[in-house]
Amino acid sequence: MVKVIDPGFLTTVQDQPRLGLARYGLSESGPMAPISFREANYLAGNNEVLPALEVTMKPPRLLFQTAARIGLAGSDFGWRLDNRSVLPGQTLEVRAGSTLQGEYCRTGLRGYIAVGGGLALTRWHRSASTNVQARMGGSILQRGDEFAIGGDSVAAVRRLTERSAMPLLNGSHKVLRVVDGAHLHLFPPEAMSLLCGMVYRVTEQSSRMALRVEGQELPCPKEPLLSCGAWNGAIQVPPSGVPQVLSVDHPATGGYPILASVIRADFEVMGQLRPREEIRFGRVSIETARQLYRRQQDWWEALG
Amino acid sequence: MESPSFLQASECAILVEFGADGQSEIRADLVQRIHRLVKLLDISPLNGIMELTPAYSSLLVQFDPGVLDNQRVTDHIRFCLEEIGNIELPPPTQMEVPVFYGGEFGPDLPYCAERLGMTVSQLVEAHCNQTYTVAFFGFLPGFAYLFGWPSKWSMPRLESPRAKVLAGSVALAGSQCGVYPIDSPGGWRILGRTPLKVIDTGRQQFSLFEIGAQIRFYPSNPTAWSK
Repeated sequence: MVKVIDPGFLTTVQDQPRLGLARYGLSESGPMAPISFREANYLAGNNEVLPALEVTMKPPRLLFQTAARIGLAGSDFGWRLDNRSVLPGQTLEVRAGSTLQGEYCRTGLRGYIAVGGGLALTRWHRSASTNVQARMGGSILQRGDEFAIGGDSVAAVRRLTERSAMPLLNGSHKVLRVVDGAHLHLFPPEAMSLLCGMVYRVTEQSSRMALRVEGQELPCPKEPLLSCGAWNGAIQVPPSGVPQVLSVDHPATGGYPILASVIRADFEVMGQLRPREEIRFGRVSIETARQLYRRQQDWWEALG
Repeated sequence: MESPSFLQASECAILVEFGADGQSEIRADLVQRIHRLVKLLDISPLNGIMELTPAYSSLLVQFDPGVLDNQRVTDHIRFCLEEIGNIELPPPTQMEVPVFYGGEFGPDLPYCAERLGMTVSQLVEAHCNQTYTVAFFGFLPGFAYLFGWPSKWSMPRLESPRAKVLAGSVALAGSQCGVYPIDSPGGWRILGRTPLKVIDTGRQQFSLFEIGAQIRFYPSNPTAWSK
C-alpha cells in the first residue's frame, strides 16, 4: 500500500487516455506530459502503460507501507527518499516504511511516480485517468488516501540515458510547433503570422483544460461559428483575440474558431511549461509533424 | 446532398464539415446525416481511428498518426458517405423525462412565459408537446444539446450567467433545450428540473442520453415522483 500523507498541490492518477466518450461530452484526460509518464512506467519496470501519479508544481508526501520499485520522471521536484536526495530519471527500490517527498518543481511543472505493477485502481472505460475538470474517472489525491499496488515489476532495473523530447529553443524561448488549424481559412491572413511572430507568456490560469497565455491579440473571424468537436492541442481564438491551447481535459466541443494546433510531438514540452515562462509558436507542415511524432515512437520502440 | 468539406484539424484529426462557412442555423437534416456517419464508422471501423465527436454540422475524427494519415482517413470517410443512403438505422431510442416545472425548480418559467405571451401552464404544455432530438454533447460531460424547440419561441440567454445551476435543470437557449448534468455555472433559462440522474459513472452507460435519442418531457412533482 501507498499512503498519502500530504497530497501536494494537485496530484492525480493518470493512465492511457480514455477514448470513445467524446460523443457523450467527455474528453480523453490522461497525462499532460506523455513522455515523462511513459518514462516513469518504463523505469518502474512496467512493459505497458499502467496507472501512475501525475504530480503538479508541489509534490505529495507518500508513505510506502510495502516495498516497491518505483520510477520517477519529469520535473525535478527536489525529491528525497527518506533522507536521501534522488533525481528523476531513475529507478528506486523503496523499502517498506520509506517516505518519498520533495519541495517544488525546480525544472518544468509536472512529474510522474510510477510503481512496478502499477497502482491498483479499477479502470473505468479502460482507463484509470482522472478528468480533473469533470471530476470523472481516476482519483485526485487527498490526505489519508491509500492505494494498493497492482503487482510486481516485470522487467529488470532500467536506466534512461537520453530523452526523445527536448524542448526546441528560439533564443531563450521554448517553441511549440503548430500545424494549420481547421478554421484557418476563416481568419484574416495576418493571424497566423502574428501568432508565430510574437512572444507569449504562460499565465497562472493554465490548467489541464487549457494552456492560457498573454501577449499579442489576434484578429478573429467576425461570424459566430456553430460548435464543433474540440481536441488536445487545438489553439482557439475567442473574441478577446487572446489564443488558448486546449489540453487533455478540454471541453468535448467548443464554439471558438481554431487557428492552429500544437503538434503531438510537442505535448511533453507544453505539459512542462511553467507560469510566466515565455514561449513562441512555430509553423510546420503536417508531414513534419508526422515525422516528429514517428521519431518519438521509434525511440520508444527501441527502448522497449 | 452536397458533399462535406474535409478540414485538416491537425496531424491527427480531420473535421468533416457539412455546413457552409458562416452558417449558424441548426439543420435537422445535417444532424441526422452526421449521426448516420457516426453509425457507419462504428460498424465499419478503420484501425487507428481513436475518437469521433459529432456536433450540429460537423464530425471531428481523431486518429493515431503512427497508423493513419489524413488521406487514408478522408478516403475511408468518403467511402462511408457513399454508403450513407444504404444503411438502415435502428429506430431512435424514445425517452420520457419527468420535469418539476416552475417554483424553486424553474426560476425562469414566469419570465419565459411572459416573454412568449403565454401563461405558465401554456408554456409547460408547449414544452411538453415537442419531441426533442439529442444532437450532440458538449459544454459538460453528458450535457445534451436538444433540438426541437420552435425557433419562433427562441429564448435569449441570461445577460450574466448564474454562478450555480443545479444538476437536472431543464433550460432553453435560442431554439435549443438542455439538461444540466451536474451543478455548474450557466446562462440558459431554467424552466424546471428533472429528478433523473443525467450522469452516473456507476451505470453501464454514464450518460442518460445518447445521440439521436428522441425525448419528450412530462410534468411531474416531487410528491408524485417519490411514490
